[in-house]
Amino acid sequence: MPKELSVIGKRLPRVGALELVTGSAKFTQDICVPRMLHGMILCSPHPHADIVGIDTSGALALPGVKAVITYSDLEHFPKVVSGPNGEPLKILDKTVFFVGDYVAAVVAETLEIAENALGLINVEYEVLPAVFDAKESMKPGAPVQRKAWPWNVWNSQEPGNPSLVLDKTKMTGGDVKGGFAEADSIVEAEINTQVTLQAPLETDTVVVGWDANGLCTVWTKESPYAMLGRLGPVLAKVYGTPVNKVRGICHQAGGRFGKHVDLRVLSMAAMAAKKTGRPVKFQGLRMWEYHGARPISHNLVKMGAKKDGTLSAVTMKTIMNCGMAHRSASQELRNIGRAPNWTWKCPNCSFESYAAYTNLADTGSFRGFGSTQGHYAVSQLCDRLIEKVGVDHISFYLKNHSGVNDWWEDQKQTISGLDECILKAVEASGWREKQHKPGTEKLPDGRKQGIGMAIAAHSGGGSITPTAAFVQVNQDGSVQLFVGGDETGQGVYTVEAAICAEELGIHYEDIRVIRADTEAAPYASSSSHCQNTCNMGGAVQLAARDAKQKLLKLAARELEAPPEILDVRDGWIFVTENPARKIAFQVLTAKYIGRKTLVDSQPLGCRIDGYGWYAQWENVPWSPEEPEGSRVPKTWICHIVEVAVDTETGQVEIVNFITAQDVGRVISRNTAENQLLGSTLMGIGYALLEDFIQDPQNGQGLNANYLDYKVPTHLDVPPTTAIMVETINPNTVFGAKGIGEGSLIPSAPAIAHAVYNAIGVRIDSTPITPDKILKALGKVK
Amino acid sequence: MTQVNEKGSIQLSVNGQVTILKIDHEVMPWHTLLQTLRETLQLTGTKMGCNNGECGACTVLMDGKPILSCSTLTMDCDGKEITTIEGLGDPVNGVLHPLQKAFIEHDGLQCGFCTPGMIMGAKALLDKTSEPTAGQVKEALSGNLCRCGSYQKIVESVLAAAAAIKEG
Repeated sequence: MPKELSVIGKRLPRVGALELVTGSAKFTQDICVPRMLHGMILCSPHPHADIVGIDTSGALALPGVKAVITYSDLEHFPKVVSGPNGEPLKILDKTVFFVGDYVAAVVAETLEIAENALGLINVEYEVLPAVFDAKESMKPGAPVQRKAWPWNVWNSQEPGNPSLVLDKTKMTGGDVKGGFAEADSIVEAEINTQVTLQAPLETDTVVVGWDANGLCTVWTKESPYAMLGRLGPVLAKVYGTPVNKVRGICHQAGGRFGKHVDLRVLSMAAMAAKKTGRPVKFQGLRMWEYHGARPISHNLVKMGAKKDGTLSAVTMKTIMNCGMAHRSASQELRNIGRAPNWTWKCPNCSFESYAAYTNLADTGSFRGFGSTQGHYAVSQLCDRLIEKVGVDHISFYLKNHSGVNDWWEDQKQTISGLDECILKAVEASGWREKQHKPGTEKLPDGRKQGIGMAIAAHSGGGSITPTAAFVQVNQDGSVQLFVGGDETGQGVYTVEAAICAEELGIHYEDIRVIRADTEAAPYASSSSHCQNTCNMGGAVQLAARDAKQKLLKLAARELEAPPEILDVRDGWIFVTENPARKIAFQVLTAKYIGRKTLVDSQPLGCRIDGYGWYAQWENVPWSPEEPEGSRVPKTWICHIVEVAVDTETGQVEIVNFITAQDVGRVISRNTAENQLLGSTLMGIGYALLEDFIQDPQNGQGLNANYLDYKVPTHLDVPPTTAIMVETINPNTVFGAKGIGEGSLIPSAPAIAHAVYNAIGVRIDSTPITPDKILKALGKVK
Repeated sequence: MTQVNEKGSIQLSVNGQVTILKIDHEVMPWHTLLQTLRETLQLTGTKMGCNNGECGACTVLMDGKPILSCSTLTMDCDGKEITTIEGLGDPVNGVLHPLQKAFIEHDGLQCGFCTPGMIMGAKALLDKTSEPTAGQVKEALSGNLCRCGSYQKIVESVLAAAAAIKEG
């Protein structure tokens, strides 16, 4: 019988909640250090231009200005790579590639002085031709963005060839031609998705300072070890700074949702701090919060199925508009391609993808990375196919999704709760009773009503980044847990404290999590790929177990029983077979820790620490047939949405939303609920509201603000039911999965299908706005 | 405004403390209340989300009414009583306001960046409407954005706080 859990799965107060409700939490924005200077950045007014002259003398003459940085100051700096497989970029270049690209930076005594100084920098540009549309940029003769790829497609070996991102994958396979030949129904469409902004409430802010020993302290909004991995090589190359002299701190981040710290700004801050001998803060501005956004994608999808609804072939061709750079084009394209490969089981498929450069702003990772676009495109075609073949939605989804032991690209699914998610969502929504032909049902108020369903799979801890953790047990029985990952709102510290408490057998409240600081915590992965629950959690469990083994040896002496037959729970250590034989955790720690007890002339106790190191290649079993990383967990989701559409105004109201997700073992119940609800709502924003508009004339972003870029408010939250399906993953800590991204992904396709069911016309691009609906209905031109 | 300038200083009460700010020294004519609170008075509990009156993160109370401190000039606060998140609980014994307790208990937050503004907005609502409906809570806080999407639990928190205040 499995051991009953005391902490895991309960409703737990969030670690850090007290600081957050009293205003005492320290966000990066709140960091203020003595003698701190403030930085501002001069941005390009042109989408593509060479800087032929730059005069900074006026700015430097302004009282209070301490330094002005231009490309010539950074010639000895290496290029920086913004992401895991992003392209090396100069921090400041002689050529600018989009409206808003960085031209120069000023640091001054106050932000006002720095801002005023920007106007005193004279720049002479030679304007170059520019291109904004990805398909246009791939045509012969389009303005060249990158000398390495003169046909404007990243990692493409020949003009017209796709980006090489699939060399190690199995995303193309089987006999596509044969698959379509045996299909009874075939559908094809191009599905387009928009640019969306992560738009976290806290803007991207960095503070950097150097001390007399050459120690560089960096406060950012992301995992300090991730920062170290990116900034460290720059400081090593330029200043010879060793890794042990770069300190990263992130106590609390006001949301990130995939957005990473801008390494170009961070490098300039480090350089300016070194140059002036004073700490420098670059406070992010809301109007700059468009860097690294989710890119536009054009997805040409073709799918075929047999009479019984079995998928026989899928092809997808994706063109992604990277703008001037993408921090991880390869990974995003792979994730787009995983929609037909991971979620759907189809023997014959091909995926071809192009990461195109244009003169739009840089793009990057966003919660639901790639999967969001890929699933929207593929799901739209599935819904068409279901209608054309004439099968039932439920049977189509149950029949065609990947399952246990199916290989997905280079990974194998070990456990999936999707069937249960689908069936529970169907039951909760009353799906079967609400079926009707598209465009045929009206509410009493005259609005058309519809219902839609979509499914998705996404990483549930997918990265194989290793992580360490450290546990210190004190004489009074309290415990410090040192973890280096960043708390961005996902509740990672709550999850790690719960895992630590459960493993050590103590109360959750007795654990204090020491916030991410490279001076305190050992190496950790960053909050991306939903990996912290499993990776960092794995390390925390091992660290707690390490400490527990030492404590059990001490308890064995007290209880006169071998440690192997002892167990821990709720602050007690006891003999498993006879729980009455027990000793309180605090009695044991008080007796031994910090004291010198001689046993067989050897000191015992004194100090109890635990160290844990977790890497999927070490901790998850693998074999040549199932190589490392192939068993990383996936989360599965099914959404069912009901909408009411006003065909006079084009307004869509979501009247009921069911989100059912396979969340693995729930660690902290309220945190998990918040993640599901928040992720779903972000998906609703993606589907109906959010659209970063870039001027077709010059590519300039027009709405990097909350007035014109609409994120969901209190009034946009529909009645939502979150259903958590708990499958216990055999390869992860307590069977958990990372869950924060999953529920965003099928929101948009489920809403699109519901809108189609309501009005009988399909909207093929996101967001589904009133103007598109009215156009589709022929009510406006 | 002219009168204020002639005095050479303005006086406001921040969380019950009389605060005198010398004009052109501690407060410049263009300083927003948000700047004064965060930079001059080091009360960083009030957050800057947009600095443009769009997100509600900087909400504080002025004479009991919720205002956006990023869009209020400090010079216009002469003689006003300002309450920030730091002034909500009891500063001496650390006892939390029922709203703060409820936000912890009902997990009415994720990253917590919107929380101070959200709680101050809720405080203004409960001071005026002691037993609000969920709809009234949503309406009152519709200008306070939470990008993490914790809205359901925020509404739960505010309703629970209202019930707790009623029970005393």
